[in-house]
Amino acid sequence: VLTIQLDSPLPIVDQIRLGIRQAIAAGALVPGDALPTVRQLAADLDVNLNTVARAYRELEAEGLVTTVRGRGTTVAAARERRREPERQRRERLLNELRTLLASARLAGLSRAQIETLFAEQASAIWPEE
Amino acid sequence: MMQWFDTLFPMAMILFPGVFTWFVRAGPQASDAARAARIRALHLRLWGGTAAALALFALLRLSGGLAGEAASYLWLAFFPLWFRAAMPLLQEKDPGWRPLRIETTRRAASLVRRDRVSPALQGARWVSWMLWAALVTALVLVLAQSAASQWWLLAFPAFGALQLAGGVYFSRLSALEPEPLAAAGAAELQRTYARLGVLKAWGWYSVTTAAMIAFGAAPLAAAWNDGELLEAAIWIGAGGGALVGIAGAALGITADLQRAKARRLYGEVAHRSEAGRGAGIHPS
Repeated sequence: VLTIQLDSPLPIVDQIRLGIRQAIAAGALVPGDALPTVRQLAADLDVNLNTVARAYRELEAEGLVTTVRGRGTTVAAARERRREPERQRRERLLNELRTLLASARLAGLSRAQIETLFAEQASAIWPEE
Repeated sequence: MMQWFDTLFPMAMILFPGVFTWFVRAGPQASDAARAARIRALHLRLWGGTAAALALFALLRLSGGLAGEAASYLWLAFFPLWFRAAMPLLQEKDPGWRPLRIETTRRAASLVRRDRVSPALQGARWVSWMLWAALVTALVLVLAQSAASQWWLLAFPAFGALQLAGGVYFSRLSALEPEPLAAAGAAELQRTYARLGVLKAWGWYSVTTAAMIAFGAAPLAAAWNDGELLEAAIWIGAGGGALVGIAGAALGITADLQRAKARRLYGEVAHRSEAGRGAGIHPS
């Protein structure tokens, strides 16, 4: 189930994109799975069609999904996803993590709180471990 | 026989909105005095309208002649009675009948593409097409041997084929009806929507298949008699068509009851979810 929060500072388009990304990472959506149509997801969440369409476009640009006219959007196979050199990927993830940790500290969260949150979210992404 | 139909059908249609709303129970909120007063006023409007329509029907029917003929068209009073009186009353009695409005800031949706998981089995669709092919083959064979050569009768099963194709299209379209979830109680909501989905898909399938059979069997009965319209053909066409219409209406009402149930449940669980966790993916 994809959940969004309208009063979140994170834009809705990013919440949808991250939610689907998380579902793919956690294995809730596997390669070949059809995503809901833009119309279905927009109606269920009661958000603008363009918001969902933009989230899908961004996921496609990341290589996580593929859209074929007339067939809709499906989760891309791992081999179809964008290949990024190991070093570059590590650098990008580290930067994202540093930004996130800095934001958490600026928001007033303690190290223990961050670790708890991290553990909770990690369990959602790696439910099998 | 048609005399009885012309009398009973308009009366049944006029009475239906009142009888239906009578059986819908008022929710606990109806104990509120202002709301109870609104319900009484709407009851008065509905039953006043029903009584007026029935009185006019009786007057015209008893007058005979052209007025008596015109009385059979009073079944059309169903529409104002249903939309102007019965629906507002139903919505006042039970909020589940109101159009869904998502007012919560926390929203959830399934990531399953619904029009791809239609419960109407592919196998069942093949059975319909095989039945259609059998009816067309029989009709072609009868027409080929008939002296009248009424080949235009093939237009009926052609229309039946359109109905079958339309059934698939509308079934898929109805799967896109909004099904908002809530993080708390999502599984229960999903089960309710799934039951509604099964009803809609099989409803479209059954009604369009029955209509196709009526559109195939009626010309076959006519062709059997060298293109002359037999009483049997009229009964298959008109009677079958009427039965399909009534079955469609019954399915529509049953689906509306399921929708009301889903909306009630959504109202209960959506606010519970507001206090829940943040955005993201949650197990159903």
